[in-house]
Amino acid sequence: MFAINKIWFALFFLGFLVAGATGRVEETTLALIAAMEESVNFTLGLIGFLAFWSGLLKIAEAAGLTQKVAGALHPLLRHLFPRLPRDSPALGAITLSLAANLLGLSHAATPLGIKAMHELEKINPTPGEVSNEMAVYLALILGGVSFVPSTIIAVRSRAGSAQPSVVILPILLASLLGTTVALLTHLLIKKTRKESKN
Amino acid sequence: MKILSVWAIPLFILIVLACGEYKGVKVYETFIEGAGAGLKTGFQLLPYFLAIFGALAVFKTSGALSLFCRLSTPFARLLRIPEEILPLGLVKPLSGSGTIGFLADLIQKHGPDSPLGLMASIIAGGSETTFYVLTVYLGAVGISRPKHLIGMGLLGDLAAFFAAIVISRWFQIG
Repeated sequence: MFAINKIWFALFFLGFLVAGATGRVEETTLALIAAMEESVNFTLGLIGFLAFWSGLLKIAEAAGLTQKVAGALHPLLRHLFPRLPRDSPALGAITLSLAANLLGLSHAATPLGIKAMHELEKINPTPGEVSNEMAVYLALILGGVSFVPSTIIAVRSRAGSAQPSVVILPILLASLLGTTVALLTHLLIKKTRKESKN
Repeated sequence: MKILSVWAIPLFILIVLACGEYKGVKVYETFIEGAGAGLKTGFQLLPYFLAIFGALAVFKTSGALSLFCRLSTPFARLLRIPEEILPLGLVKPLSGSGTIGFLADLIQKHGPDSPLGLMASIIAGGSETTFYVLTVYLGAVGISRPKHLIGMGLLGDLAAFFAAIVISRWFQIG
């Protein structure tokens, strides 16, 4: 439906087409070259944080902490991930990453999420392809449900808002609805795929 | 709330280290091992960042993005959405920093507690940056075909966008 190859192609093709029409070819090329450098800097910036948290998570895992967290939150997640056993490392990593997102710890959430994806790939029945569990997990992440939308609150308070955190509840409601729609979309597509196979 | 967010990361570090010590884990050596694995994942992400940042830079700088936003103005009128809001909804799934930039600009102009400022804040917080999340999370495990996940994410974004508009209107009446 939305092939990444087509989208990527369209961004470049339409971009340079418009650049040609508006006489901004040179600027666009320079921006592209700047983006290459920016990608490297961004990766380097991310790597330090990612590596530190991966190290810490390895300790958490060795101490049996992730399994404990998974066990505690299992009743909540078991309906979404029925195939993952109660104390599986995958469920533990998923739980921790969702908890970080809920608390608005966006920096810590990314390494935790990557860890969860690694665990899911280990038990992926079709390695190298998106599994059902990955799709469900990513629907939850993309929904972006959070009790503390920290960045938004920060931007609002910097702009001199009298009530920067007044948006917490509306944001929670909107993101819950978005998450539900994403989850339902996945379940519907999964169902139609299964039926077309039979 | 503020204390919680200031202490969240230190507390997490302290709890993990304390549990490790208590369980007799060799904390330093285990950390090094895990950090090495994290480093590898980080480098693996570079090609994905190159692809998405490069494409977005071309699309934005060329003026294609603002053209796209301008073409959408009639739709905004049709759906009775404030014209300034629709570009925010279009940028939201593509770029996190772009969204924050748009939001900061909008609330600077209209005031953070104005009806438009509130609506923009709720839209900006109502979903994740779909393309960025899929790039990072799938890239980390080397999956380059997102299958139906882009469509799934964008439908979720669309639902959150309209929900944010409706909710912000209720919110201001009530």
